[in-house]
Amino acid sequence: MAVNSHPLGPLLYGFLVSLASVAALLVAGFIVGTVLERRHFRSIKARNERLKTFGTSNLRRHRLAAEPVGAKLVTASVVMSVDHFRHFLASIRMIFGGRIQTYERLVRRARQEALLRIREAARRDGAASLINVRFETSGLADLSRGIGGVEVLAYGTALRFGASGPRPYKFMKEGA
Amino acid sequence: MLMTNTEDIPGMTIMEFHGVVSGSTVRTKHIGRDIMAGLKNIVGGELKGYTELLADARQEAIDRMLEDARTRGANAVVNVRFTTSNITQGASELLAYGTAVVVKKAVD
Repeated sequence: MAVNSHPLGPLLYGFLVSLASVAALLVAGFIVGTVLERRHFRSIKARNERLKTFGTSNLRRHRLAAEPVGAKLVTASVVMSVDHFRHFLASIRMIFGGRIQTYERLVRRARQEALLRIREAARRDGAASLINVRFETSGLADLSRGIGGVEVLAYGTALRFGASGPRPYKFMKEGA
Repeated sequence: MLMTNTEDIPGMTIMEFHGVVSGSTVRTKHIGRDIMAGLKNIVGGELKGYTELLADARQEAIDRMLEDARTRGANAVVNVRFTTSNITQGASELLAYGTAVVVKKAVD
């Protein structure tokens, strides 16, 4: 075989094979990651639809007709990262400056997921409304490989009403 | 112990103020050392192990804040806020702080 006739043949061949398999793994990760991201955005949209009548605001006081009987702090956080290939593309983008839409999508995805989680947690606790919602975002670092990730914390106060609960909101736009 | 991030608790009256209480944890930000995270990074997405780890650290910070409030004789903490800051390269502090108060049920 031609590979074995060259003195460095098998070594080079082995190196090319491992390079090709790493590249294939990264591309596969990119494709799977894209599919999972789209599926996640669809599920976020569906869960927001289901929570359409659950009032959420970042106002400091509630503006509802009835008086609440109980209040509770609810928190939720999400840690998300991008795949290696996307990070590599983003680092090329960073050379030229400008928006990095990959990370924009990542943070938006984490933030919407965290907001959904506190709303769902509030609803599970028997609350009828969530006020004073705040966000905390912090970046995560992986110095050995430089993978970017983000942690988003969302917290707010869930209000529970008695038997004469508040009227549900008629219109609820999708969360930011 | 009651906690809200609003300035007052609905249905309760604030009787006494006991000052600002806080609790914090310092945690490492590195996510690469874990094998699972390394594998997950091939496809990206949520790192559930780290979400739980950071949720535990946050609960620890909240518990320390509530302990601070308890030693002052308060029974609730209002206007709770969270903030994160970089302590040193690779470590960040999660701080939970609020105002410790004594509340009792409002009588109308």
